[in-house]
Amino acid sequence: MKKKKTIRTQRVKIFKMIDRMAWLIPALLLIWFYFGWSIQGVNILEFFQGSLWGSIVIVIMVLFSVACLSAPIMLIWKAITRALKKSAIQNATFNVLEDFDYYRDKLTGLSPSDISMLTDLEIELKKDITALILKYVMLGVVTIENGIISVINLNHPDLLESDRFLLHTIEAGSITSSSATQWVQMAKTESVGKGYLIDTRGTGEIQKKRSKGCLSALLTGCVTPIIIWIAIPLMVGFLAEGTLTYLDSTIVHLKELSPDASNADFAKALTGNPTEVFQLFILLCSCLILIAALLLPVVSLIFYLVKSNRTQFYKRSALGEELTEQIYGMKNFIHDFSDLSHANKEQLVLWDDFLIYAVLLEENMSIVNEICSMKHMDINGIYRAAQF
Amino acid sequence: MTKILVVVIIIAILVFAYLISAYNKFVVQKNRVEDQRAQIDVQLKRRYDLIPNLVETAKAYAGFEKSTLEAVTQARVSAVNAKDLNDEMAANAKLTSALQRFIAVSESYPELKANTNFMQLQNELSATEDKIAKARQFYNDTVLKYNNSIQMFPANIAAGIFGYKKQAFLEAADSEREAVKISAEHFKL
Repeated sequence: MKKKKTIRTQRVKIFKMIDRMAWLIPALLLIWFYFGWSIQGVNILEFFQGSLWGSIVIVIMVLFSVACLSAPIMLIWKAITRALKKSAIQNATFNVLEDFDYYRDKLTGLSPSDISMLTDLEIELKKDITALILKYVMLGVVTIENGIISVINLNHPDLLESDRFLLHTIEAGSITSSSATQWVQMAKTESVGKGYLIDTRGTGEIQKKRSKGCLSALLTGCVTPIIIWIAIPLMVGFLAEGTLTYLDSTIVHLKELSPDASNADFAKALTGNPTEVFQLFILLCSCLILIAALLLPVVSLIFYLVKSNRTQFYKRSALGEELTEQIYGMKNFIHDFSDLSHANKEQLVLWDDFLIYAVLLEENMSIVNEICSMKHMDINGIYRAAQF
Repeated sequence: MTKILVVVIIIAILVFAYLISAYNKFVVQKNRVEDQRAQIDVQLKRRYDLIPNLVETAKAYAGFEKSTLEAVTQARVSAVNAKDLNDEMAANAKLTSALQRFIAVSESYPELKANTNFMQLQNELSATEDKIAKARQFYNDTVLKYNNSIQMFPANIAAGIFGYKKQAFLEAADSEREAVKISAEHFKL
């Protein structure tokens, strides 16, 4: 099996973070309960004034209840973020050929948009246009003075068709959403033309991928709940004989409490009998499984829809894989061996290509923000329009 | 008493964990400095290998100024024999000046300029010099990161315990700051 590596792009990092944020839902629910009960005058700490065993049981019960209540939102959240994260990771993953960690030479022959496409099969307007502008400054094609970008030489031999198109739009005064889309398409076509990427449209690969995804969604979303539903009668039998009987006696214990009983007495009545506690946990587990079974079809459908919506038409060619490994090594090298994250655009003369790579490989975002905020360069606005 | 002991043990564990992590960080950063230093050496070696070929090619052309060739050869020898990195960089700065003079003089030899081998060597030398310059910048950046990590509080305490010391940056030698002076006598008339 071929070894694979993933480039830690900003997109991957962001989706991983959003995915982890799902755990905030039960935490917030817990805080909400705490304050809700406190406002109603319930002394929560009283529940923990009994034995250590009782306190542990109460904590576990609360956690189970919170899990049951937060499960619907959490599962749907996870379905969306998992799909986004998975597609971002897939796009940034390449086959390893030589297995090196650092690459120190210049990435000769690769334009900024090629590097961006090879990194994660996507063009990110803000940083890619910034890197291109730095490259144009280096080639002497544009100048930046007093926050204004001026095009001075459109006939430079190193310019590609997409470069000329982009420069025309900059020269015209502003980049619009449609011109940006057109430029992105041109840049992608050029990368395909150079043999770095393969356009899989019309080859049936996308359909194959989608069918595979659909099958896996069907298996997870339908077959698993069916198995659970088949298992439920067995569970009901088990519950009828054991859990429900013990649950009845737990309710009796609770009813026996006097109206002015404290929370500590309530906790004691609830957790006094280990067998009853065990059966209560089985009931809570069953509730959790039931909720999951009910939600799985919806969750799988959402996952499938988000994932298939993010499917890329492009994939790396053999040459592309080789170059992506170099890009991966370059990103590591810049990250570990330089302070380029603190460099400014005036240091372009000093660092030339390496500063451009730092911008492209998301190791320096300050230059991106600086150039994007320049006159006629409202890339932020276009970026927002393109995203939503 | 037991409570105090528990607190002391917890603090000792935390301090020990911090020391381990700080030590590992210093090791990684010092290794990066040494690795980057080795990268400079690789490029310098490449440069030393190219120079004799360049000089030999120029020697083949009658009348090429002998003192210029000797200056390059001598500067190369002192760079190769330098004791430490800073000495080596200073000697290399002198070598660069001698090479710049050599290249400038070679401009007045059209036959030499037309020699493809000479041109190729000259281009390679120029590319190597560019790589040396970049390697120096990266070296200084790794030194900066290393120095920052061992000088900041509380890491400076850990660095002191483990004996990690500040590393010197590579600075431009005086001869690098000067422009190359070429007089008319250097040229073939």
